[in-house]
Amino acid sequence: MSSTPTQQGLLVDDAVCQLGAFALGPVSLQVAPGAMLAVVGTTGAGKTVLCKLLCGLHALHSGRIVVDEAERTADDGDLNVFQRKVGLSFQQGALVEELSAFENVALVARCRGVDDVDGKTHEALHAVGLADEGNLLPSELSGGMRRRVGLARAMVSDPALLVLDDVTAGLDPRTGHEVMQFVKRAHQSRGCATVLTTHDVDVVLPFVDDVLLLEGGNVGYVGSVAHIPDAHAPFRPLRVAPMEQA
Amino acid sequence: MTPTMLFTSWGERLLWALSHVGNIFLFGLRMALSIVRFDVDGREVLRQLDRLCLRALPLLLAGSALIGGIVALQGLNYVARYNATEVFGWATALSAYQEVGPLLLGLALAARVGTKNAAELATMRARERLMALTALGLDVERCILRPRALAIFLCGGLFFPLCTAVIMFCGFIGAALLGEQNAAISLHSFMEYTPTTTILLGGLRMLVFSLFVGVLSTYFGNAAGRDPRSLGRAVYASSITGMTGIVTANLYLSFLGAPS
Repeated sequence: MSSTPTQQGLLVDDAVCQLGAFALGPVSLQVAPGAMLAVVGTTGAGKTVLCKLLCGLHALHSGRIVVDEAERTADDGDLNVFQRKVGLSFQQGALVEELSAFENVALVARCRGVDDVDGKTHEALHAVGLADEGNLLPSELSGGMRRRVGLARAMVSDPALLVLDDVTAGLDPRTGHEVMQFVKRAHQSRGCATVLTTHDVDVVLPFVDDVLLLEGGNVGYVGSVAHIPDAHAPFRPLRVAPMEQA
Repeated sequence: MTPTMLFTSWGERLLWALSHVGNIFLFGLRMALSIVRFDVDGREVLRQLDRLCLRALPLLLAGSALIGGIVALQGLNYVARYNATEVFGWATALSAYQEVGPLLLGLALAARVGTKNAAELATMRARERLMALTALGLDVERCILRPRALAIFLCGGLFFPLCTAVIMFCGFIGAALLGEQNAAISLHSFMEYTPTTTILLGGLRMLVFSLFVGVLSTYFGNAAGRDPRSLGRAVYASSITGMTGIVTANLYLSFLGAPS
């Protein structure tokens, strides 16, 4: 985890976010293109705050964040340019209820100025295994499908950084595993840097390269999943390699 | 409560209200500028016209038919009292195009379309749907808010000819059935005595009302907070301000058009 700027991927350098009484950071981390980092921690540790900070939804108090050469500091940085480099999937998908799955993805593609909106939308839905469910409304989709539409929406404009907030929350282990397989496949096919938060260490950590452990807004551990220290044993997954598809 | 506390409390409320008025004005101005610059997501405007406005058309047409009935009953009183058979068509047109028609259609638009728009946006705000779109780098005002406000504005102009035609038709037929007022004479009176400006000014009045409904419902829906009560407050604020704005504008426009 060096602190040199990357051509692509994500670099967070001593980033601090102050939200009332809660302070996140300083956080420093680097995620190379094609690498996947999981952010774990207890409830209220600052996982979602970090996600929103990476997406430009929270102000940066100090430090800097670089995504694919778009730099953001506390005083500088075009937020709109920065946000266009990032694809975010919220908890539960956060889809627009009145739009079909296809329209949800197409709206983002269209507003982000993607060429061939329909083609890219089909491609993104196909990548998450929902090519035939495009006409369904979010209320007609299962929890796992909604996450996958959220993932397609985040990926449709080929972002340099993919941020997934608690992508398996509320899903049973098998559905969570399926969703993670789609995440891994989509992540590998696009070669972007991916940061995801989770409570589900057993389901998610077998798929990732590195882990960042947050404790009360501070970084407790950053490094390989295989070397999580004994002090943080509850965050060790039962398996390190992904299980075979059921 | 001391006078100072009272002064502070009312001062805060006044500033709160003024900040909303300023924000509404700025939102309306940005919407107008985007139309002038053709910076509008036309596909989204059409989609919102279909799902927000077109689905409200049956209610508006049913309301128009009832307004036609009211106009017929009121007009027949004067026909009977002053033997004003010759001017019934003209009087009906005056009500339909300039006074009762736009006012009641505007209120129906605020009740049916405005509240739906405000409720949907407030729900999207409460469930972080709009925040998610912002995080994806979308200009929510351009992609979501302006198309909705613009669709409602256009809906007023598009539905006005249809709804007023229904008012006139039901007025003439109602008068013929209830008071033996000859429909052909009513139609002749309408064609002969109604100036084009009456119809055009009525359309303009309806556009003003639908602009109020579009801008206010979109603004209050988007300004909602994340707690569940804010949804009710957004719908309440949208309908109350929309209806008050329509009635006030109607009074002002009637005052402008009144003979000096």
